[in-house]
Amino acid sequence: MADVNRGNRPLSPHLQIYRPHILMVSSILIRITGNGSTVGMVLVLWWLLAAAAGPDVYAAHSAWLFGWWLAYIVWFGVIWALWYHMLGGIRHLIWDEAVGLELETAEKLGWIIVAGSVVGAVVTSIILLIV
Amino acid sequence: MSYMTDRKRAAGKGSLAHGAEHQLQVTYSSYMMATLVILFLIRIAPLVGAPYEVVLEGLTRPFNFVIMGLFVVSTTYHWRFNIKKVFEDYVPHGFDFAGMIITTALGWFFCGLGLFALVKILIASMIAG
Repeated sequence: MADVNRGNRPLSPHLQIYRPHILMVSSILIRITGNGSTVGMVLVLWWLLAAAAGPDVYAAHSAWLFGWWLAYIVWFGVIWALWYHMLGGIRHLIWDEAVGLELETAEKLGWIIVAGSVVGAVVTSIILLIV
Repeated sequence: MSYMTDRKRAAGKGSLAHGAEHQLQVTYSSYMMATLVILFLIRIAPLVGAPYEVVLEGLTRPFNFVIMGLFVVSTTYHWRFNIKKVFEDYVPHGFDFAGMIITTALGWFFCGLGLFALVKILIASMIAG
């Protein structure tokens, strides 16, 4: 069998052929939130460097970083992405121990990280807005 | 028709020769990140966007200072794994190698920037008394 017809066989079905399901969507979201967190990393570094540059620079940059409507949306997105990627990562650490791999449990975990990340992001944002 | 066996074809390709080590590195890094993100949200996040004096005072508390330093190092390290995956999966061979050179340099650059900022904040707070 080793040398039979390699190279021009049909490809296996890919994304466009499946109806989205929770395991697939929650997995894709881990990658999107992971790479999206690059924005969060750069923003936190920006904040840190602005603070290092002294009070005047910090005040000027704070207006850009925190002082208008778009900043609130971006920071909420960053917080959600951080929560989602963390919960999704913890799910993988659980799976690495060969726990929770049964289809029913795995799907439940998928819904938990989707719901958990939204709840976590909203609660975190509210607390940070109050403090 | 060649006479290559399945055994011969598979040899050395199991984990692309370095997959197991990569898996373990990401796993160790993930445990560290999960811990640090929670600590960051509790201790550092309230300082992000706070007035200058509050930031200075908050960041230079010993525990917060160490947490933020570890967070900078750990995040930029972990970030490289994520970007590596993007290059491996979506970028043609050849470009991915060049991409990883840039990503590695950028990761260390971000790390250096963050640590520099932290030290400068510490010095500023010491001068301010």
